[in-house]
Amino acid sequence: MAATASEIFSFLNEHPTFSIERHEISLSAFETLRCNLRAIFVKLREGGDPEAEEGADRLRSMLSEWLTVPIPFDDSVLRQVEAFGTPNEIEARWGRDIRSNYENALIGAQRIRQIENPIRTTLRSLILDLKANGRIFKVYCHRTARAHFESLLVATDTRAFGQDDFLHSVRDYRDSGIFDTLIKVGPLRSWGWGSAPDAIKSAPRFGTLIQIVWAGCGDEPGFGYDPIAPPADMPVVGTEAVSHEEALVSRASWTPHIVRSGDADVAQSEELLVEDDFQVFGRLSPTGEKRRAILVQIGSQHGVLYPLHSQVLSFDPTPNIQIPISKRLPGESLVAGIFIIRRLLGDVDLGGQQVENDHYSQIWKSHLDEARQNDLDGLVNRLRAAGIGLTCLPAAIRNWCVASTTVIHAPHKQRHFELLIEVLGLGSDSTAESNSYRIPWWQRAWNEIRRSRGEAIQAGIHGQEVLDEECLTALRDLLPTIRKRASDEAEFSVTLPANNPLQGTFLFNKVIQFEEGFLAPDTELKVIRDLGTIEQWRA
Amino acid sequence: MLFSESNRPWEPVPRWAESFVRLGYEWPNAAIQVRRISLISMPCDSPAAGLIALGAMIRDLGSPSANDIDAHYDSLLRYAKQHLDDCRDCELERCNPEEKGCGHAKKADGWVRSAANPRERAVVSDETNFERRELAWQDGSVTWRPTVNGALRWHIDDEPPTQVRESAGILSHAAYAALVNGARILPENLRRSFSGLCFAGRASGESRSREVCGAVRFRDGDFEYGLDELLTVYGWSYSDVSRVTFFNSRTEQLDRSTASPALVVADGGDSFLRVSSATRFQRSDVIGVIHRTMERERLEALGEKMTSLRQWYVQDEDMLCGLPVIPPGVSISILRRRSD
Repeated sequence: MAATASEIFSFLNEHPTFSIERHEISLSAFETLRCNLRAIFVKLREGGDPEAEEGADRLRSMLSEWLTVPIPFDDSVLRQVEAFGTPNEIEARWGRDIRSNYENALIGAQRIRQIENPIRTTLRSLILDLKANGRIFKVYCHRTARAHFESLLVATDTRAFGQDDFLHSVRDYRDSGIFDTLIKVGPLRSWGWGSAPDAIKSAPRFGTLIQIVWAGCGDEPGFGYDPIAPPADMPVVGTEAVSHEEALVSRASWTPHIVRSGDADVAQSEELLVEDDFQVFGRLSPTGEKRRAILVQIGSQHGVLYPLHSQVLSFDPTPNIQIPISKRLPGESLVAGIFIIRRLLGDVDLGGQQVENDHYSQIWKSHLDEARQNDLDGLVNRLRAAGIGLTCLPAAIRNWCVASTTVIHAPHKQRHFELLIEVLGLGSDSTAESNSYRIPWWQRAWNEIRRSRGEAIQAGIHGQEVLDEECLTALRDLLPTIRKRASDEAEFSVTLPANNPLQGTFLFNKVIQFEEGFLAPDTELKVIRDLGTIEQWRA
Repeated sequence: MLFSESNRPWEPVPRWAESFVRLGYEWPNAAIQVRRISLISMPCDSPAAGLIALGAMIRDLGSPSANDIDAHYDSLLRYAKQHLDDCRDCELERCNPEEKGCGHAKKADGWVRSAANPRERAVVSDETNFERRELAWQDGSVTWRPTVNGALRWHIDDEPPTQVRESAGILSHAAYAALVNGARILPENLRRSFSGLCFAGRASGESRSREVCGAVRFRDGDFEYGLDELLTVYGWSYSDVSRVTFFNSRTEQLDRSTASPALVVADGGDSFLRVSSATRFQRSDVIGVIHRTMERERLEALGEKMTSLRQWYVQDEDMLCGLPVIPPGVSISILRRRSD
């Protein structure tokens, strides 16, 4: 159960300081593997060709996982490295220099097969100790890393982890109660692989943070960010309120305690790792053509990346909810259990007669512009008298006179347009042209406007909003069907009826969970991909 | 006074809650014409914004000018003009002042209601004469032409009455007096509405905002009050008197037609960002309350907002130094508009 504010403040009052137990582990075989793969990554990134970029991305993902997850050192590590090819193939593809690093990396991968990952032995020992002492602890990790933690205790007689022993998101942390110890593998980072909420440090609800990291992995500077106060790394004494330059801050202080273990020469490691792996990845990642994204997981194997802060069309199946279909913000108003809606629409035609380009609009716009130039006040008065009561009518007239582009600028309401044409005196002429049709001139001109709006919708220029509005209307009409399907299925589609101005299908997928920390190109956004493919876009 | 949060056992009002009520109570009133923007960052999600608004509301209960009486006739005239000139013929199917850019806070549909007889309703009439400041409304075949005093018995439909006469609708003196030691409360203010203080709810909507406030309850002897009821947002309490306007951060609509409030208390990061950027609140003091248990992106958006404000604002050291002791884990920034 989530802790109340009173419980949290009471806890903070009782804890003048909090402690970080940082276990820094080194292993020479792993260092060999890690440093050589990192060297290859740097060289591939500097190479810049697409194949090298892809290889660098794979290396980044592999190393990031190994540095933030307690993986077992088994054949799978070697297999992942060998998947790049034989040394000969590597040399043919990327040169002798990289081949040399690659061969060394293979040696490292072969050597660690003989050893249990020391991160795992340390973790196991710490967890058993916590359990023996009756301490309440939680593990902060990525969902996919959970199995590696659970496998730690398989060989022991100790009860496995409970459902509440893991935290996977800031929301999980927010909804948790107060506990004794938080366990985190890898550096404290706010973004990307192994990321964790800043609140872990800026708003603790546990007394001790146990952090297990590979030697040379530094925490992200400024982790524990508070938008109105200096970085959390600044020394703050006790929980006393201290006036900083920018704010009045009453923040808990952290006491670090570092335990170093392992067989690698620490001094050498530190020399080699002047810049830590994640800093290198960050520095050499081409972010220019990618956007920050949030993963919306649908089903156990698939997800969709949405740009951060995007509003997603969605359906909330909660009975009696006031607005079941609307645009929602992933992770905030769009939560697990709600269905995202994607549309597969045919050509949008909002109806009306097919009129070429802006034939009618050229006529009425020129009349309107002439009337405006001659006597704007008189025109405004006549339009008001006719019944167009728009607040800023002169400005609206100016806008309507603007030459047509992809869309014909015109009154939004059909009635207003009819009155405008009437005032301009265009509807009463019985020209040869108007005789050729049995519908009034204003109606044909209006159809032209509607069509232009329809075209603009397809071009995505005028009208994402117009299209959304049309979609919302169509979806509301289908609400009973949608509700029924949503009660039985986590994934379904609804096809629009033939008489609807829009034609096509809406696809519904129930949201399982969210995850921030992705950086993806536009082509990878808003499309369903399997989670394995999406992994490559983790920042 | 006892306190309970989320149905936990009753306890004396905790210090953290007292601190926030006191902060609202001591916030300088509108008489001081320097705009301030404050952001308070909390270690957890909490009803602190509601408590600050409650403190400010108790402060206003002691101010002789904190009522809507004097401005009522002007308010009705503004409402009538908006209805007749703009809203009556608005082309938008759903009112959206931000989209239209008409500058109004909400739709004026022209209806007024009798405070004495809530079943009696009339609509603003074309016979209203703005040059002579004469209101007129139509109730079937009856045309009303209320005087300045007579207009006090009418209020805009769906908005709180200016004042109530029946004792049943009067706010409880004891409840508010017990929350702030030595608070000055004017009895006449307990039956008068006031629009100078605004509570900007969470971006998740009004229901969620009310739910968060409703989770906090106070008990004084046999009487029990939810924070939501004590705030007197129109429709949240037993009384028709409303001394706190509500800004729905999701729909970006105010619950009444009113001039700019003197103080807006914004609950949550999104709410703070919307309020501090909204033109309708550009003269109001703003206090935003956020918690740090959210994603870095959102925290950074707030940090960037505070940084950008520092172009025109400076840290108000006097106020920071004069604040009551702040609870552990809380950070407060108060910016004051530069005088140069």
